[in-house]
Amino acid sequence: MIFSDCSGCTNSVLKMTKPLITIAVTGLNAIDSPGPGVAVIRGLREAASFDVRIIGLAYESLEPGIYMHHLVDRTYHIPYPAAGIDALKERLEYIIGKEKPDVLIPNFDAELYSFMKLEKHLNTLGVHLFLPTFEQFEERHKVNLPEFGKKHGIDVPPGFVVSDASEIFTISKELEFPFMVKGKWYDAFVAYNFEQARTYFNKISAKWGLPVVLQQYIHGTEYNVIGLGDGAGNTIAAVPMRKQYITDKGKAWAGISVDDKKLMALTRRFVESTKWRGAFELELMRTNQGKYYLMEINPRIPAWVYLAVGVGQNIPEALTLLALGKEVLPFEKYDVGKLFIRYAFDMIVDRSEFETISSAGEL
Amino acid sequence: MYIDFLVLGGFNLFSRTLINYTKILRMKINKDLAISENGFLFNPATGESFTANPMAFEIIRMLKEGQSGEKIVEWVSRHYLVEKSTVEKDLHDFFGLLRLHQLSVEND
Repeated sequence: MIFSDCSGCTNSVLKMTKPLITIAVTGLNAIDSPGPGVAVIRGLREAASFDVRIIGLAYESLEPGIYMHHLVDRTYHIPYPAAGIDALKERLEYIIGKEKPDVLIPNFDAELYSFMKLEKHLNTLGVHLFLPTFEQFEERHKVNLPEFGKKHGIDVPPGFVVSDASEIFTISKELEFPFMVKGKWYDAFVAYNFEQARTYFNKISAKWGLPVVLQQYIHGTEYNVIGLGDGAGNTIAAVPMRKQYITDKGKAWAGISVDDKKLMALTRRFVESTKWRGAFELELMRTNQGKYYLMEINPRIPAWVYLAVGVGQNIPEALTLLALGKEVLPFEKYDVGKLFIRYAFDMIVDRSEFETISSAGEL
Repeated sequence: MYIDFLVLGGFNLFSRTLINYTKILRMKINKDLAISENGFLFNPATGESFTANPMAFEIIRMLKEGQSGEKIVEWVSRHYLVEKSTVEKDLHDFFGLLRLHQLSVEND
């Protein structure tokens, strides 16, 4: 499709060859609360318009994706966001010098800011990204969600941002129990009374820092939408899913693609109104009355992206093409009623591989 | 989720009720509902699935064909040799279940 032109080709067989793209991917931690990297790579490996060489970017030596050699060609350690942007920049320059990736797909909320900061610099080195703008990234943040809802006409549960435990008592009068206590990056707990709320506040703030978000609990069923916006208000891809099986960490272990016009309309309104650039996940709660509340917006591909690939919308492929500046037409359909069911299996890995990635920082 | 439909042959306290159920047995089944021959129902809008027993499956199939509540009552009554008033009451309850799970579209 996009890469069909082949000016250097000399015969018809070569004209059929797909271009080889090198793509760097983070989020190789395919654990019980999985990073999206491995699922993203599976989508990229199934791309119709290109072949790929995958460079894994890992924070820890035990991220399972590092050892999945049928998916990942080579892996490099990168520093945690806490090490600062300069450390990441220096490390990426080293990796780019060796591997020359065409595209980089970051998959964690916490690392996105650093990659957004480095996007222009990486462009000059020939690496393309397709990320939200700083404004989009900030306004959809959990702490800004109530204002976001008002601005874009989307129902959001009442919520408050708390930076001091003493504020909880006052705010708990504004909300009805139970309510959610959420970290600014990850973790969420349901508090049924003031004592629980205070305990969760301390637990979350110790782990993820301040502020902490208190959000009204909405009774209902959880639905998620994975999507891709082109940055001009067009929804390139969107697949809604109902969580069928939820782990104790609140992650979907199984889900089914659904066809709800209300949900699709809400998604298109979100993309059109924000002119969202890049992949996203909307987390929604549907009440028994059929009303949707937007609980969170994740500014990246979620771990269940392979469902979208399986139902006909290869979002990692489309995102890659957008990053490369290619024209991508919106997907018009997907299969409804298809399930994803996650599973875990044990890989047997030679100690020497673990030693190499741990000591040399690359494998 | 299992739709435990009509307990037939059991004593029904409401079988002699004066309510005329025939008049309120109006129901249109959600046209998008996927119904398998083995009684498995899937609502593509909500992602929910159900298992219907043979009688529930037959009634849903008749509703999907556009048959009226009156005809369904007649068929069940004839097929299972149950008084119409009993069937009407139970069918009314069953329709309530279909509404609750958003498997129906209300008639005007």
